[in-house]
Amino acid sequence: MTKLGSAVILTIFMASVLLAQAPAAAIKRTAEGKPDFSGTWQTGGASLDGAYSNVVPAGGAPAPAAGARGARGGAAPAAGARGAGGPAAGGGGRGAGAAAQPGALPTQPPMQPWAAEKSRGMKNIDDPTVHCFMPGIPRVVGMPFPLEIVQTPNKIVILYEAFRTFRVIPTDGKKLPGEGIASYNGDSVGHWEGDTLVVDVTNFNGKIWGPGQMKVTSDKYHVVERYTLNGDTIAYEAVIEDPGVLTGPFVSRSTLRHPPETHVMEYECLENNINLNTIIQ
Amino acid sequence: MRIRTGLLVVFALLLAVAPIWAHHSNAAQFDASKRTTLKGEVTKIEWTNPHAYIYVSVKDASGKTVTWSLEGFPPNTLLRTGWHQNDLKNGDVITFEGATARDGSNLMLGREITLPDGKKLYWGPQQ
Repeated sequence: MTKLGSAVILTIFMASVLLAQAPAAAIKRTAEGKPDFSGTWQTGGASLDGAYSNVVPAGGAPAPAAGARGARGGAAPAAGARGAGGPAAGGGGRGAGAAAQPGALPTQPPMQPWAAEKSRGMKNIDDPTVHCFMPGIPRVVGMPFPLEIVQTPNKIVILYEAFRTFRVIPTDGKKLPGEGIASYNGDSVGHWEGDTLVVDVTNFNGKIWGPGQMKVTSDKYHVVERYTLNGDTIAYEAVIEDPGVLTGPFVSRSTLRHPPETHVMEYECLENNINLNTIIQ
Repeated sequence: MRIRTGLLVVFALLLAVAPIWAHHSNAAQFDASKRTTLKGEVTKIEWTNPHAYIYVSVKDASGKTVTWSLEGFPPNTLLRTGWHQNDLKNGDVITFEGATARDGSNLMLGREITLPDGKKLYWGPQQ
């Protein structure tokens, strides 16, 4: 091998290494330079796999994969967030509690003993969503239905197909005008930390379930969400505190992706909510 | 299409992160270990929320006609996963399979449905 030949090979090798380490594709940005979250998104459910997922293969049904199958299409895994999620957000962030790094927080709710006992005693029929009430935050994000994010220079509006939930989130750090009653989805105020949208949500009504085994919440329930755009997915993270129910904060993570060829549609849960008497556990 | 379906399944399995809370638990209502496969005539189809329903007349062993109720995905989910509203109509004879209700009623979480033309689709979630 000549010296020139070796140099050429070495150059090609180094170029390959450098190209492999090239930064990920730039994210879509708004005219103001902010990450653009606009679009239709979904975290899970059978419909995330699109039109061909539901056709039984000619050779018979594929063997279900433990865990993965259970997370789709409505069969609920009981455990809390197991999402691979995005990068752990650095820094405590507002409301995360005592400068705790979200990456170090538990992913299951640390409940006060009375709340743990009450949650264990909850039956499926006690789930507010079984009666078509809104799931609240962050539970609505994990529902197996799409959501639409509409982004303007100072607001983000999220329309969730699940239970007709909608949220208006100011992104300039200022509360929306007027006072709101304690509600299922709370009041949101957002601000940017670099390219991450941080949303502080308060003023909940104590009627929703939290993520995982947290089947009781109080009016002190408090969520700080983080949205980070990675190419064509959003890393979603929610840090939950509730001094009325929990002994400390915990974190819930998920990944939002684009469901194929669909849009948010109507979901009138109350129209035929029958057979509730058969939900016996 | 087989290859594309296979790739989509692999893709889904690789990327299937558990949602924060994935809908209410069907296990509270249906027993996945008690499955039934039956054949009968469709008498009613409801494309409604929160679940679509197919009602099927089935002759039991004694010759008596009983009505089975098959609970399925919400209609939006059905449309997104391969169903069309005209795939099934009253009078169609279908074979259906699924997990039966814990309370012993003729209610099923419908899973595999075989349409009159032989096409097989999933009516509800795996359990």
